[in-house]
Amino acid sequence: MAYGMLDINFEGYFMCRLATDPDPTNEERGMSGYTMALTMEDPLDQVIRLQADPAWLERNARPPLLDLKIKIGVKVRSVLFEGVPYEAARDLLGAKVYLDGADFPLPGPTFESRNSTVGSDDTFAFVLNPFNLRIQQDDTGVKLTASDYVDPSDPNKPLWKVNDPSVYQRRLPTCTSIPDTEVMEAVNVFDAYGYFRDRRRYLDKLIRDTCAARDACDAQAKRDQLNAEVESYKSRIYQLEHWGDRIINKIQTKVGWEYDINGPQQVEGNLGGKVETDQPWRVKYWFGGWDGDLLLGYSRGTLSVPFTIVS
Amino acid sequence: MQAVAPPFTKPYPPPRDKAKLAAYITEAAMLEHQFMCQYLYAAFSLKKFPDATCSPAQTEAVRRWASLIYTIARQEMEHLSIANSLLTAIGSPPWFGHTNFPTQSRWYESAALRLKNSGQNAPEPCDFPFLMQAFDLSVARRFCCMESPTLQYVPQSDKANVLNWCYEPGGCGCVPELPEPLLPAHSFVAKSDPSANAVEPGTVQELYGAIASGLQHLNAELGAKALFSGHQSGQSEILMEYDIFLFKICNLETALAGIQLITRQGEGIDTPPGYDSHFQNYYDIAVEYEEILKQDDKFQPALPLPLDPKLDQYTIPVTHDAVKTFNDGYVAMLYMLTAYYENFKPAAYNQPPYLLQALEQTVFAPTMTMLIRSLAEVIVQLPADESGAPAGPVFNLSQEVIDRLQNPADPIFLDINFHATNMRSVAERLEHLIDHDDPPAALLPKFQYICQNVQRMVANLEYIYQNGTYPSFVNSAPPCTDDNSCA
Repeated sequence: MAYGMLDINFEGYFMCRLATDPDPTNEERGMSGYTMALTMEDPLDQVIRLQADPAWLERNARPPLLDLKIKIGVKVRSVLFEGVPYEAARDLLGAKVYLDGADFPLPGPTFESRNSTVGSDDTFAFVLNPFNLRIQQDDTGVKLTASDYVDPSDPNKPLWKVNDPSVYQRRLPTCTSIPDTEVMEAVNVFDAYGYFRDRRRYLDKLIRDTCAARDACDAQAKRDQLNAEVESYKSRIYQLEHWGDRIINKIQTKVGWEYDINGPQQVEGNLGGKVETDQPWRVKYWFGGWDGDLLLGYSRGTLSVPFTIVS
Repeated sequence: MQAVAPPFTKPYPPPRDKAKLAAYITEAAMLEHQFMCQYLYAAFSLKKFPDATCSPAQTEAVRRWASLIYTIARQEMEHLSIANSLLTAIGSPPWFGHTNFPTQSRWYESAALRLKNSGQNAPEPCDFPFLMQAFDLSVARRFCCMESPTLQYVPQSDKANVLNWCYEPGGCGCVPELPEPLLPAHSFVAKSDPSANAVEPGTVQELYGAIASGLQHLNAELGAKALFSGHQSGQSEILMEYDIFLFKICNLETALAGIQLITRQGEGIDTPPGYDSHFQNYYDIAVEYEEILKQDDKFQPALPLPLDPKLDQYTIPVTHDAVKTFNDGYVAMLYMLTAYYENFKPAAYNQPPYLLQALEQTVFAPTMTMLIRSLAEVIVQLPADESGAPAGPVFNLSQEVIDRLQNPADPIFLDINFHATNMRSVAERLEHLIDHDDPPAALLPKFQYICQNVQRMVANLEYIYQNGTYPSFVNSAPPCTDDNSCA
């Protein structure tokens, strides 16, 4: 019998149709911030999506997202026991990572600050709220869930009602880096200015190509659609040029969190040992590599669970 | 757009004593505040989603206009802040009041100019009333005219349009027909200097020219210590990444830099080619608007909000209560701004109780964005009357409010309970509206979100007053350890 920590490492691209300051944090269209919903897309909803279903992606993936060969989805990449790969937990490999629940009245989990009302936009003092972690591998039936309470003395109390921020200090970021080498490596963007210069050039080309297609088209409905596409590319160029460095530097920004989970923890399926659910699991993760034009970023983290191998 | 700084040529003399200088700056503060309200009202009216008179393609153009107009409105807030920083720097009270809308500013009426131009064959400018008006082509043109430099500094390529939009030969089409002549706005300058009534498009650049001249004269005459006998404001703590550029104003150099920033952003004075001044932005919007109309004469980019709504004109309960709550929130915000600018002292900022920090952390991003703008954008989705036409918010200051704003030394501004009570009243009104006024289902979550945020702002006022700003909200977390480092 061996006792130690099982580290479940996960990473991948996430999406978030996020309103940005100075838009209100429940803004649906994006009128004055650097992010926006294009007219053919869903409204902004602020929800952190670690997974994206194909139909949603079809509506909300902007070019060149699909051409970049980016796959949206945070998944388990490795499982280590005391720092060594643990083969017996192979059923977890590839498991999808989810954040469940909703930050009422918003429809899902969000980076919550409410424009410096419960946190601070200026210092990236966001709370991922709510924090209901689910790691699930449908093929093998393995599932881990863990919830953390902002105020464990009153689990149902919403963040905006917890007036003393020291109560949720543990849920605020533990680190912030701009630029960050690990992020640059993860998203493969080392020249941030070049990355967005390329994007503007690409959008210019899309405008030219789409205008040509429109001019060659006789069907009015199709022409209207192509016109809307052209204008959406113009809006994206406008945002990149208007906000400049505010967008550019986010692609190499990392914000990290780390805490012991204080709520219920559950395990289903075979992990090749016994997970302790009555001791707190520790989670450490970062979000970064934010592309404010494509509304996506990268996340990497580790869920560490007390674990016993029974021979 | 390229213009060079004009010489100061107006017939009215620049201020030569501190009282008159303060009057000029107070006048400027009021004008900036009035610009801001008009631009915000127009921005609130812009459509966010396509409909029968605004196609998906057109809605994208409208979104870009909204971004620009909100940017300009924020920069008017910046100008309002700079004007008040100038006032407090010279030891004068800040001014966050204004004459109610609609009104005719003396700086934007043409009557006196006709006398001045008599016999010179010069074009006669239009009156530019200050109105709460939904956005349309005439509004884009009027805003362009209001932000225009004097005609001689308008670029040749833009001159024909500016003459057409802003001067009588074009018929003053940028001004709607009004049911009755407007009352003139209160003027702090005209009381002592009637010749200041002589105005034309671009005159505000000369108001700032007069202020700059007065500052330079009095700095030389009285000395810097006597002129800048007040205190710097704390408004420079805002990050500069939101198109707002603020800095401490404490001497002649910083004061003149503030004035230069205002006139560069507004009229494009002394700027390089291509500079996107407010004038140029509104000019470009108007031209793009004309182009879209040529292709689609049914194009309507804005909701038909009422012209110059009054506080008591709404009879539908949810609309009435929402507009009243908005106005109360606006007044509460102006009281907090007045308290902050009047009392800011660097030494007092970090001394308990933390009134200045409580005000600073509440009045800017939270109140302006999460209450004022959020509630206004909900109000324009509410019915104004039984016809279903949309309502519009009201920026109304009662005489009682004006009187209070005119007396920033009133000890009540130092009372945290005064500010907390004002905001709590807004939260309670929102709760009442949610519980009793049957708001439309689609808007209920928005009302709830605003209400939650205002309740938290009340709590923040009280928490920060006692404890200071929470450290993690001021200082970023330490740098992350690079997990892939080569160490």
